[in-house]
Amino acid sequence: MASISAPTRTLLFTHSTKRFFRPFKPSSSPFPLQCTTKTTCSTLQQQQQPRRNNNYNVIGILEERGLVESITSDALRSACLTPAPLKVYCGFDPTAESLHLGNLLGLIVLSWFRCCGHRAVALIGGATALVGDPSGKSLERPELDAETLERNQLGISNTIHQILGRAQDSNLVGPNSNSDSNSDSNSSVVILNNYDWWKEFSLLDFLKRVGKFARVGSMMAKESVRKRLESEQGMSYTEFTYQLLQGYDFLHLFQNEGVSVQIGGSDQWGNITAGTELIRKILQVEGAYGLTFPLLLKSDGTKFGKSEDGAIWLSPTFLSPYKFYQYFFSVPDDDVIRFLKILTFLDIEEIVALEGEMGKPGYVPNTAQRRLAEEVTRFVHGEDGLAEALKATEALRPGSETKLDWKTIEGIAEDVPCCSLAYDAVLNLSLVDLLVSSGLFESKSAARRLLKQGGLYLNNNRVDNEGKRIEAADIVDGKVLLLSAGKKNKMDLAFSLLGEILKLRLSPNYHNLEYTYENGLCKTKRVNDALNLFEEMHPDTVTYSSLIENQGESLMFGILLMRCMIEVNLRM
Amino acid sequence: MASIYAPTRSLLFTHTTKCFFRPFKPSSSPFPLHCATKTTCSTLQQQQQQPRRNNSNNNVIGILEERGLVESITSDALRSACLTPPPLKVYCGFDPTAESLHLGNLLGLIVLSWFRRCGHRAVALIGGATARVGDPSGKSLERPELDAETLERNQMGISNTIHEILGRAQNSNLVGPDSDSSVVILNNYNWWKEFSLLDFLKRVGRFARVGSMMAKESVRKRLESEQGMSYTEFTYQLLQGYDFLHLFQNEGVSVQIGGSDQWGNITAGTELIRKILQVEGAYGLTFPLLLKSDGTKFGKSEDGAIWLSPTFLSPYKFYQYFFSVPDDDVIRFLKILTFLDIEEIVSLEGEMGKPGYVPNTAQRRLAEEVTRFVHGEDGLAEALKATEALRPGSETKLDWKTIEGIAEDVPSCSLAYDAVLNLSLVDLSVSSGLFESKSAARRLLKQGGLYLNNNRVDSESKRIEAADIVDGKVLLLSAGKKNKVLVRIA
Repeated sequence: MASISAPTRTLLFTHSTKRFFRPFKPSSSPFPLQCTTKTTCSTLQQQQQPRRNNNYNVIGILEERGLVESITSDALRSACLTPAPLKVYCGFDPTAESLHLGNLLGLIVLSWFRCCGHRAVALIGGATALVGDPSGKSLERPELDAETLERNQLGISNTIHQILGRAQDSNLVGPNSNSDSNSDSNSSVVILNNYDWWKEFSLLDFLKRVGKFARVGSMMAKESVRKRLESEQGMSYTEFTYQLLQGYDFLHLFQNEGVSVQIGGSDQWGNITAGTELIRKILQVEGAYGLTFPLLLKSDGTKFGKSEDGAIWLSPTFLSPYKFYQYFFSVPDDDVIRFLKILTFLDIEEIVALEGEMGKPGYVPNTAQRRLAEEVTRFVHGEDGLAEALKATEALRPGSETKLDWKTIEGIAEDVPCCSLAYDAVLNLSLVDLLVSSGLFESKSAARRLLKQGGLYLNNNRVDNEGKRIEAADIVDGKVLLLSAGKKNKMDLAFSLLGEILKLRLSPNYHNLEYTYENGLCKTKRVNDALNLFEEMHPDTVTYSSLIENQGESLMFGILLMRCMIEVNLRM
Repeated sequence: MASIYAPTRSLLFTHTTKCFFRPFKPSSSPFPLHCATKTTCSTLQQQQQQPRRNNSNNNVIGILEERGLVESITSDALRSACLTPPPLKVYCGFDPTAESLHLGNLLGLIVLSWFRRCGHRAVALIGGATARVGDPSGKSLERPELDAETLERNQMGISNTIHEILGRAQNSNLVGPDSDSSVVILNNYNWWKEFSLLDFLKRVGRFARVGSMMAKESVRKRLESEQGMSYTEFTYQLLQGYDFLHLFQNEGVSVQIGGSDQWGNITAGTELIRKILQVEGAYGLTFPLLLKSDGTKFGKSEDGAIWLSPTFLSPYKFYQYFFSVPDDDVIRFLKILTFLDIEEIVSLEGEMGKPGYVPNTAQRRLAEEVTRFVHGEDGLAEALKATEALRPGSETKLDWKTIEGIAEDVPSCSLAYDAVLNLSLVDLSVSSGLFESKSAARRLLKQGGLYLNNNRVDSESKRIEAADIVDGKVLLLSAGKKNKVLVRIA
C-alpha cells in the first residue's frame, strides 16, 4: 500500500477560539456609549414611518448612530435634503486582494447614503498603490508588482460590487419604496479606478494645473504630515504628494462625475480637506463636502478589527464567513450595543430595546452578539454566507444533527488539524486504520477502545461498528470528511477530568484526556473522589471563568466545563 | 507744405551715458580686489613657457579659482577628475524666461568656455520644461496659446545666442584636433514633456526626503516669508536634480555649474544621482554672483537688464556699459569676464597706479574683450564705430548700421525723402525739433556748433543734398556736444 503522509498529532484547536467561550458578565449599568454626536432633527421626529425614505436626512441618521466625526460644512445637511440626489464617494486602497474590517465602515456609510436615495461611488486607488510601495520592490520585480496590483484591484472591486450590489437589492426594493426609489434602485454602485486618469497625467501638467494652487505651508500643517516630518523616519516627497493626489481625485470626480461628497475615516480628514480646498481654488466653486467617521475602537481604546490571527478580511476567500461570524459573536457586552448602531442597519428602536433586555434577569446570554454577528455577516457575505456561517457554528457542536457539506467543513478548516490523502487510499479503508493514519489516535487499540465507548464520530455521526469502512457516501462532496473523538458520558468524564487536573495541576491535552477517561470510567472510587472534591470546592463563575481562560486552547475541555456550569445551575 | 510731425524735444541722453563722462579719479592705492578664492596650482606653475590656450586637460579648476570664478565645489575629487585623460562634460542651465539671455547668464557661458579651452566639452541646457510650469502669474490659464508661442520664441532666441557665443569661442580658441565638437544645446522639455506624474513619484520622488528639501536655503527663506511657496516651486529642485541625473545617465555629463544661488539645486542633483543610480562621479561647481564693490548687483541698469542679444541691446550700448565700470571693479572684472592672461591683467593693474596712465585704458580693454566675446569681432567693430561716431567732430564716416546702433539714445523723427532733399538745413533743424526757432538755429550755426552727420556746417545757406542722406535712409543732426536728432527717411 502506498505510504500515507500525515502530520504529527497537534492541539485540536487554536488560540483564536479562546474568545468564543469567554463567560458572560452581566452588568446592570453598561459602559457609557462612545457616541461622538447625537442629534435628533425635527424632520426625524415628524416621521413615524420606516426610516428608508428618499432624501431623508442621512447626516442625522449617521450622527445618531455614531458614524460622524467631522463634516467640512453644515451646508452638507441642507444639500442632503434637496430633490437631486447627491453623489458620494469613498476611496479604497488596493494594498491587498481583500478589503478588511477597516474598510467596512466606508461601505456602511455609502450604504446609508444609498438608503436615503443618494448615489454611491467607490474609488479604487490603483494609482496610489502603484507609487506607494515603500519597500522598493518595484525596482526589482516590476512585473510581479504589476500583477499583484492587478489582482488586488480585481479582488477589491469584486468585494465592493458584491457587498454594495447586495445592499442595493435588499434595501432599496420593497413595499415602502416609492416610485422615485424604484427608479433609483436601477443604478448600480459605480466603481472607478483613479489609475485611469493618473496613468497619462504628465508631471508638467500636474505642476501647472494643480501644484501651483497648493501652498507647501498648508500641506505641512496637516496632522498626518506634521507628525511624520517630526519623527525620525521623516517623509519622502512621494508620500508628501499623496494629499494632492487624493485631493485631485476629488476634483476629478467633482468635475467629471458630479460627485460632491467624499467620506473617509477620521485619519483621512487632511486628505479630504485637501480636496475641498483644491476644488475651491482651481474650479472657483463651492459645493464640495467632506465627512469623516470615527475609527472603530473597542471600549478599552484598542483598535477593533485586528485579531491574533491577523486582519479581519471581508472576502470569503481570505476569511471564511464562519470565522467572520465568530469574531463578531465574541464582542464583549461593553461594545455590542454601540457596534450594533455602527455596523448594522437595525432600527435604533430595536437596538435600544435590545439594550434594555440585556439588563433584565431573563436575558439569554449573547443574544445581542448573535444579532450583531448575523447582521454584519449578512451585509458582508449575504444570506448564503450567513447560512454557511451558522451551519459551521452548529456543526462544531458535538453531536449536532447538522448534515455537513464540503463548504461548511472548509469554513472551519483552519481550526481543526487536517491531513491530505488520496481518494483511493481513503475509500474502503478501515475507519480504525484511518483514525491512526490521520493522527487522531496514536494506536489502533486506543481507537478501538474509544469506539467501543461510543465516543467516535464520523461527520458528526456516531460510529458503532468496529468493522466500519469508509464508503463513498462518507466522503462529503467527494472532498472531505470530519473525524471527531467525542465523549459518551460527559458528566462522568468532566468530573474525573476536573479532579485529575486539580490534583495534578496539569494542563489538559489529548494524552491526559484519554488517560483520565479510562481511569474515570474504570475506577468507581476515583469518580466518587472527584465528585466529592468538586462539591467541596463550591466553584463559582469566577473559578470556572479562570479555568476556561487558562485552558482555553482546548475547545473540548472548555465545552465540558461550560456544560458542568449549566448542569449545576450556575449563572453564566 | 505738408505738416511735419516731430516729437517734442526731450533730454538728449539718459542716465546710462552719464557714467560715460564721469571724470577720472586716479587713485594711488586701488581698492582691495574682491576675490573669492585665489589659488595657484603646481600644474599652472610648471607651464610658464606655454601659452594657456590649447592645452588639453589643464587644471581648469585652478584657473577658475585664480580668476575668482569659484565659490563652491561639491567635492575636491573634481580637481583630479579634470586631469584624467577623458575630457569631462560640463553643463549649465539657462531659463528661457525672455527672448534674450542677460548679463546674469554671462558667467555661466564664460565658465563653460574655460572648460572648453582646457579640453572639456560644454553642454547648455535650456529649461523649456521649467519655464512651462514656472509662470506664477497664472497667465497660462487665460492665454495658453500665447504663452506657448512666447515660450517657443524665447527658447529659439536663447538657443541662438548661446550658439553664437559659444560657437564663436570655439572657432577662435580651439582650432585644432579637439575643435571638432561643437557646443551641445539641449532642452529639458524633451524628457519632461511625457514624463508621467506616477513615474516621477515612483522613480524620483520617493528617493527625496522632504526634510532635506526644506533645508535648502532658498526654500527655507521662502517658507519663512509671508509669501510662502507653492508645491510647484517646491518641486523645482527635483526637476533640476533630475535634469542632472538624466544628463549624467544619457549624455555622460558629470559636472553641473551655476551661480551661487543654484547651490541647493545642484546638490539636489548630485544627491539624487548618488541615491538613485548608486554611483559617485557627479560634481557641482558654483561661481559667485557678479557684484560691484559696493555690494550691489552688476548687470542691472536704470534702463533694465543688460541683454546679450544684439536685437535687445546694441553692441554699442553693451560696450558703453562695461566702459563705465568704476576703477574699483575693473581689474576684478577683467579677471572674471575676460580671457586675458592673468599676467597681462596684473600688468595693467600696475599701470593704473602710475602717473602716465591714460584714463579708462583698463575699462576700454574690459569693454572690448567682453563685447568681442558676446558680439564677436563684427559686433565689437560696430560698437567702436558707434562710439567714435558719437564723439563730436570725429572723422568717422557714418553708415546706416552705425547710426541705428545708437538710435534709442537719440530723439528721432521720420520725414519723406522728397521733403528732406534740397531742404534748407536751418529749416530741417527746426522741423526735426532740434531747435525751437530758425533764429536759434542760425545763432548756433554762426558759432560753429551745428553738425550734419558729424561734419561741421559753416554756411547758413546749406541745403540737404543726396549725399548727405546716409545710405539713403538717415541723417544725424547735432547741436553741440549733447543735443542730437536722428532724421529717418520714411
